[in-house]
Amino acid sequence: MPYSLPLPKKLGTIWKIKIWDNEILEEPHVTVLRKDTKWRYGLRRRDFMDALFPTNPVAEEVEDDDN
Amino acid sequence: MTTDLLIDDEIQSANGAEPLALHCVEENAQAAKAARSDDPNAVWIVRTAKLANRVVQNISWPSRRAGFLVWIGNPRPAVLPALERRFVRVVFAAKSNGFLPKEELKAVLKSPNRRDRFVGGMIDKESQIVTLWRGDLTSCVAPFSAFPPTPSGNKPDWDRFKVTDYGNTLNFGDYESAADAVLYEYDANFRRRLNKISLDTDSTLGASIRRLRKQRRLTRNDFSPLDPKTLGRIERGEVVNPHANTLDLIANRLGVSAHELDSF
Repeated sequence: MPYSLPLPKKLGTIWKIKIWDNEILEEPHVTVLRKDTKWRYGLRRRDFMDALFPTNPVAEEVEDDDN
Repeated sequence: MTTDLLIDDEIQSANGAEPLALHCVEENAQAAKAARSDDPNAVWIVRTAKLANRVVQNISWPSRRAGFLVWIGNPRPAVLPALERRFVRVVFAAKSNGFLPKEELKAVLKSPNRRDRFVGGMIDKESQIVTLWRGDLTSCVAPFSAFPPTPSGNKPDWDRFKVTDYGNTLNFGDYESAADAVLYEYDANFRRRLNKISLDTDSTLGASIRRLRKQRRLTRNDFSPLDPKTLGRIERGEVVNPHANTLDLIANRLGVSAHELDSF
């Protein structure tokens, strides 16, 4: 099993946060899944690796609402 | 049945970001339409053998290739050549659960980055390979050895294979693998694409060797007669131009060709 971050039930039905055992060729990272969208957060660069995929923008739901 | 029926590189429409037109064949009239359509971007999804047979029966011969056929099920070998002559690509799985659920399948096929996810696949225990269908309907074949036991001793259950998480996860019972990890190891283009765009990724030869050595679970002592300290210096980039014989030795031990080393 990958490491899967326990989430509150309401969030856990939509969001998944995983670290897979076999993902060791690339730098260590956490994968955040929300339906058909995925973000990979690099633990060395401390930034999203998904800038690689311009079609995979950060959804409005995860952005801070400062307004 | 693990025959790869894909006819690669004939039509590139499924490889890029060009939108695909998805059609679920659920009645005879749609089967006839699938058999005669000239739409190069049409993807016909067939779920029953009866309707798939209808598609074959309605093909006008000689037929021009166009579109793609996703057969959710195990086709009879006798009809495969006919489908192969009619559609640019034909993908199928031996088990009905070999593909993503319907809504996830449609979402991935419509996604601009569909080629970086899997829509389905199948297992062949005799040849010990996993055939995976990517969202662009090309194949990716990985050996069983691509899914080693985890450090905690968890092993893949080949009988419980399925693709989940909109094509981002391969499940083998309790064992999971990320689609990215498989593509990274078995698709040089995927690997190069990621490394090229990722400015922060260390792309030196030494870093590539180290990553690959870790992946193979080898230590620097496993490269005899190469001195472990020398290998360490190469991995740290302290040796600017390693000797060709040294690179050959390293590549051979890692099971790749020397010219591929820097792509990992």
